[in-house]
Amino acid sequence: MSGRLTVTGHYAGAVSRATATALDLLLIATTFTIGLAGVNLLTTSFWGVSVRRALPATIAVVVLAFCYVFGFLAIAGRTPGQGIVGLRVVRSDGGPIRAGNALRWVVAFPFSVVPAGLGFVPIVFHREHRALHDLIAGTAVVYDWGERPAELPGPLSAFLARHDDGGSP
Amino acid sequence: MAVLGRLAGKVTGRVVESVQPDVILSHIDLDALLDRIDLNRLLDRIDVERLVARIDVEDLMDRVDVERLLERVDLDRLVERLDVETLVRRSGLPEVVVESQARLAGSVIDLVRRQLAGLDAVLNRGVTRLLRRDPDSLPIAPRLLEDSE
Repeated sequence: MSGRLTVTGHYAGAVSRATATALDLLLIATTFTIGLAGVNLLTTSFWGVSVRRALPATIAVVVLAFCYVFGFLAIAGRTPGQGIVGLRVVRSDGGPIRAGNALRWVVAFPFSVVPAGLGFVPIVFHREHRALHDLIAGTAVVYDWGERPAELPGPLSAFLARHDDGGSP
Repeated sequence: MAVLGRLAGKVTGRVVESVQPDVILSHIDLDALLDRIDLNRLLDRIDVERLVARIDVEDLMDRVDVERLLERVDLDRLVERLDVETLVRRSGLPEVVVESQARLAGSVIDLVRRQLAGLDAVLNRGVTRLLRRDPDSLPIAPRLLEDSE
């Protein structure tokens, strides 16, 4: 009725996925900063020991990031950042992911990051917009706005409808 | 005896006619009289249903001067006695406000999501053209989700 193309369940593109990842990084960094400051205040006050050292802090942030991503993916099928942007991680056939998929997704994520982010390039060029960690975990990321249909903007929908390419991002 | 009875009746009649009612009333102790009346017993004997049935409500309402009645109402005092918080809670207004706020927040988020999905579509269109792919040959969704569209 709104004249907008519906893209619910379609493969999500690079811009949405990058935004979701950025939001997740922001949430993890904020949570870690507040948490570390709180823990440091307690340990300094009670035992005179500061926990603000590079190695323990790095280990802590990696553990937090792992728990954050694995926990949310295994339980809800999406991280909070993906939830805000309206994305969901599914199995490559479209079914809901299992804990095993979520674990492989999280463990394989660094493989996409480490080689200068080359693992993310397939999101742009792959036919199903799957990153390296998606291919390893057997997952895909799709648009899912919950109860509401995922849509493209009206003018763009009209443009894509005129050029008849199905509106798939 | 019959003669005496007739004589007493006539005398009594004359006496009653000549006596001033005000004089008699001034001798009556009304408070004492009222104390002797059992009001509950009196009320028990009143048929309320019958009494109400006899009241012409329409006529009663016509006789009520609403304007005058309202003038006598102290609105400030009335409002002071109102429990506005309970009244608002019972009206369901807080739920309506929360629902509309949630809907507004949802609309704003959807607006941003639409722009991001639009950018995805534009980028994908550019890549498809660059790689000279046939758009119709590209899968748009995983198999199970394609079926549910």
